[in-house]
Amino acid sequence: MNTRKTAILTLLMLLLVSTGSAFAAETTYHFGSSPQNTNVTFESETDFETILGSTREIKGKAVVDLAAGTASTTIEVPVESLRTGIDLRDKHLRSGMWLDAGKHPSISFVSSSAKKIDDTKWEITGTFSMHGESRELTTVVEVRPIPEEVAKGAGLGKGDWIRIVAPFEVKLSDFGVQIPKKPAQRVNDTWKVRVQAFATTAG
Amino acid sequence: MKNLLARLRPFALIAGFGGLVAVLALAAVLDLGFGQDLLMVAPHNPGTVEVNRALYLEGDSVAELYGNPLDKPVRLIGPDPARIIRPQEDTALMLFTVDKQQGENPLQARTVWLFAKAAMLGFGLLGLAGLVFPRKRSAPMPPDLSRVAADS
Repeated sequence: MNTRKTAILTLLMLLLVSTGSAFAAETTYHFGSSPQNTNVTFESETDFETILGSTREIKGKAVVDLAAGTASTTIEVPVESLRTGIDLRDKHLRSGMWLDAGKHPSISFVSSSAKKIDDTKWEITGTFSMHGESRELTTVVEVRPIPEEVAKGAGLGKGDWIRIVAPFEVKLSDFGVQIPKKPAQRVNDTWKVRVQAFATTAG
Repeated sequence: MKNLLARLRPFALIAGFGGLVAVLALAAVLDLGFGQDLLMVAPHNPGTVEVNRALYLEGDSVAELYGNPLDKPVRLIGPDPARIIRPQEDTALMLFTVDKQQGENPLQARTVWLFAKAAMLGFGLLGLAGLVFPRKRSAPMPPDLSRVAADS
């Protein structure tokens, strides 16, 4: 009798779990597994020159329910990985005078709310942290699922994939980064940042 | 000191105003002869471009299919034609790939002009200094001996 009860109970639990998972559409996508498909850039424009910098390193995850319109995300970019095309400038960028990679090794974003605007666009608000300072940031992020055959064709590997595109602006002085006098005319206080990254369920 | 400045005068005039004109001409030739307005993009890898093109919908940014673009085109000096992309989706668009991960840093016209302006200011000041420097005194004339003889 006991064995029967246990079997029925197990069956019921299995049924419950499977039914539950069928309805739960919340999916966790991981960033960073394909750096070749990641492109994070920042742009500073002045009368002297336009600086374009980039990195392909990103870590983090996004928990998304496309149907229900709920999402949360955490993203991290190592300061050491930022490149501007000139080694000396990169060295300055990482130094204590600028982003201070020694003390503050990463730049991060942790979402606090997400609102689905339409099929592909989300308004995400969260905390952006850089140089040991944190500020609230709101941006419109484009999220598109990558169809399986497209992902396969591009050699993306296992799992379901999404692509995110997020443009936003960062004011360096808001984060305690004071541009030294000499390069002030060469670097804008406001950087335009653009993130394009693929994320997969196969972490 | 006066002598030294007088000797430097022709050098300052020639180097100053000559340098100013030469720098202006060089910058103008570089800009007008070799400059091209292009939209710089940090390029995506080919697999990403393939996915982006598959996800492309009308109204999407064409430049973003190929890379993360700057806000607006930048005038570049002597850009490598092999790195210019003319997207099928918009053939009027001219993208220029700049891979910062590979240390690429194309020369921008505004950088050339900024250095040219600084150099022209320096040469101009040198030329103006040449104008202010004293002229070299001409050698004194020999005494008129016939007049000396007549007087005596």
